[in-house]
Amino acid sequence: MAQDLMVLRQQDLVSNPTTRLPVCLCLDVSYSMSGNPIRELQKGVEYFFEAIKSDEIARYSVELSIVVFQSDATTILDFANIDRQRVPSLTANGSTSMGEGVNLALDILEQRKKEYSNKGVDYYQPWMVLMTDGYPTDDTSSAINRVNQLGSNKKLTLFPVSIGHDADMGILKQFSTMKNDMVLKVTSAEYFKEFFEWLSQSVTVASQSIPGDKPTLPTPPPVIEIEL
Amino acid sequence: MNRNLFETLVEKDYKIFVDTSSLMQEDSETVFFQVIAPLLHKYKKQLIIPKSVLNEISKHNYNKHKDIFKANHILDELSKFQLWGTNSKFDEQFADNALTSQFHSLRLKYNLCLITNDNSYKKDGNLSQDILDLKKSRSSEYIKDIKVFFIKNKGITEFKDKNTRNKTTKNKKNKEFKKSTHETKSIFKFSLPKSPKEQDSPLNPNIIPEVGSFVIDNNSKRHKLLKQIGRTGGEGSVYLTDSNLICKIYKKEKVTRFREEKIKLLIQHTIKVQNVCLPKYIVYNNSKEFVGYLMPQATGSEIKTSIFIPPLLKQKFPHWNRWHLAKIALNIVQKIEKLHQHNIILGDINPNNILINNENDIYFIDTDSFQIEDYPCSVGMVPYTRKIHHGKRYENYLRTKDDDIYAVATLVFQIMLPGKLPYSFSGGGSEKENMKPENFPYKCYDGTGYNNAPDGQWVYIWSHLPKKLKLIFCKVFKKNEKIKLYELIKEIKDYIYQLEKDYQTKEIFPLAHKQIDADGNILKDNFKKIICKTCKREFAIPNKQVQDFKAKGWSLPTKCKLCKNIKDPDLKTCSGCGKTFKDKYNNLCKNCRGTNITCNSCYTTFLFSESEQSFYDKKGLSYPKKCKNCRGNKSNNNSSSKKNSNSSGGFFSSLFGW
Repeated sequence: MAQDLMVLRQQDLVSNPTTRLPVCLCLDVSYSMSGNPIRELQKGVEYFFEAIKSDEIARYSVELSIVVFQSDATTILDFANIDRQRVPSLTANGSTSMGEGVNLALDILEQRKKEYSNKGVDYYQPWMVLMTDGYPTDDTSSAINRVNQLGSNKKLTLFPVSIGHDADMGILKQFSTMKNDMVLKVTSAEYFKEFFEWLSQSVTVASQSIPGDKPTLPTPPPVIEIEL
Repeated sequence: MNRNLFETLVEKDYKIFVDTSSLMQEDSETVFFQVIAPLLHKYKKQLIIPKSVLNEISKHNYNKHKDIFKANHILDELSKFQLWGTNSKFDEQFADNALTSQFHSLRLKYNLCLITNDNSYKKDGNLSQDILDLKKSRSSEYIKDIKVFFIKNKGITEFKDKNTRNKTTKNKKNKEFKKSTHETKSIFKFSLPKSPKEQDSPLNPNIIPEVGSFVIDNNSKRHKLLKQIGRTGGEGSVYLTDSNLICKIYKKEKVTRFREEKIKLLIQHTIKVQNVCLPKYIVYNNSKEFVGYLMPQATGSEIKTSIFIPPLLKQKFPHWNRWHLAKIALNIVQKIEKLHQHNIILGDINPNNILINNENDIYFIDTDSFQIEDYPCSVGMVPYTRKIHHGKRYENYLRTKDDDIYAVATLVFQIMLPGKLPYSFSGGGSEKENMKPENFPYKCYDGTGYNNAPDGQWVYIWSHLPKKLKLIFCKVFKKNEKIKLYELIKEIKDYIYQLEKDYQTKEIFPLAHKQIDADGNILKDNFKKIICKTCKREFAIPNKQVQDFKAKGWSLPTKCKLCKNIKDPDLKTCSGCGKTFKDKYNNLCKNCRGTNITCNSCYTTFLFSESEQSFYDKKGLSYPKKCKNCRGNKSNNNSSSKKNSNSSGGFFSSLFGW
């Protein structure tokens, strides 16, 4: 099974030469996300996938993966052609191993970049969207170091997103590679759809920009707060 | 008549070279003996048989080529009268002895003639044409005459330049050109200044028209904006109007005097190139402030989303083959040539600015970015921008026709290898970093092969392109040299001709490398298709290779190259011996893990590995109690077989040492 997946991952790369944008959603699914938030997050992520699929260019250039973290971190969806991907169901449980989650996300992004390079497919530097509603329960310092090093070399764009008002803004700011350490805040689970709509538009713009250039992203909708 | 022409050449001391192919035709013997030999005799001349030809003949002799006896016969007979030589003066100084390089050098000193039957377009390369092309090179004033003849119907016939089609058009062109030099006033040419005009500050008009509002054109006609087309871009939005024209309205901060003047300049000189959607009218809002312009409507889908993404190519043009791609390429280059005649530099040539309906119906859009006189084109994309301009801001310099030609060469490359950029290579990085001549990964007839070529069908496609088109790409991307648009046009036209004659594969994604036989003829579909066991996709093995496999008694591969190269994620490197093995749970391979046993003879511990255990179990043997050394000594002592006398030299020598 694992080998079949490897085959698919590589076949897509040799048959489609479009410059790729790898995106990893790194999601907090700890116990505090139980109930409505996790259900809304699930809907939001599914909406995001559909939005990417409906854009003629993004569909063939944006590649998505999902890492979730609770007491440990897991890749619940690895990179592949979006047509072959189904969003797995998210369940909330356990603590908040954010450091482990970000490290795992960085690993799979790095792995995918290597595959692009091996197959001779050009790519944009990867994006990571880190979403949490709380405080990390593990050590995040190594993950923060890695992110900042990549960020300062323009090899990673990381959007930290606070869900609700109780997330650790200090840590999220440290993870931000955006101007003024920007953090986005989705104040309530009911606004996930707006957030993911904005994200899909941003990803679409970025996937059609000139590699190396900073794309001008659309302004986030008013329900998304920007914390500077 | 030809006999007369040939006689004249012999008489006038043309150096007459003979190629192998002409010695092996049905009528070769008749012609050489009855036509050529008497003339040589009459004027006391000799044929020149280059060493490369003699080498080739001996190779054919070795391979027992069925017609080689003719060549042997002709050379034997003619040599009796000393009617041919390998004249060292014409031969030995050339390292590769190839005819073309000999002609290349000798053409400046002597009138030359070649007798060859290598003149078919079916071949990947056409010696007759290549030799005649030598006559047309740049320094042609010094070149003496070159003629090519072939053997046919018991006679010797002159090979006429196959590009006579081009020649007549060239003549026509010359006539047209002469005409047009009279009419230069009628073909309007913009000036080509050296430095760009600077953008000025925004005019900030009060009202930016939106859907439903009216705009007024420079003839005071009103147009209603009916609906927006596409997303709002960086400069503004595009609308359909009730007059069936398309209206571009700039964003407030993009409305400048500069833009207005540039568009006025374009409109003043009515320039018409079919399906190039140039501005037609300038438009103003109700307060008579400049806000945008009107242009004809274009239809079709962008090259980016119709050719450069292969799944979409299959979806949008399922019946297309290479002929359609070549036609598209030709149409694009010809449109650019026409614009260049007016000294319009396109600047931002990219796959989003060209729309395709079908192979003959393509549109150029976003023409307000064209560079006109000293109004620069302020946009561009990295892969279509020459390396020397990387790092510059597009509005800070004026581009040249050569910049456009580089961009269109990249575009044509991407049409031929749908979507693949010339510098994408295995091991590469970003588009910008990749753009170095040494990174061009494809084979260029320069002694080097493929160099980190990207995985997949791309090298197959490359191999199937005609040699001369490949040489153009090599010139641009590997040698970093400039080319002219007419060169590109000529090779694309030739490719179309070869596709129409069915000399080249029409397959957009061929499954194997191009196959060429010993005589240089292209073998079509000369491969066996196989379905890959792993990915279930079709791949192919050339028939020649299939025969090789059979001859060696090997079975044919069941997996495609890609699947064969994929590492099984369960494969690991043994931390003991370093070999790869497959196991989910262990870090040591079967040979390196097992139980430790203490030897009951020397009391050292030795590993009895899992693979040994299973071997012993299979054979029903009891497990060993002694280590290998002690077991070995025993067997050496016990047996006096010949096998041991050789291998255990150490044992005996130690005895002799005593």
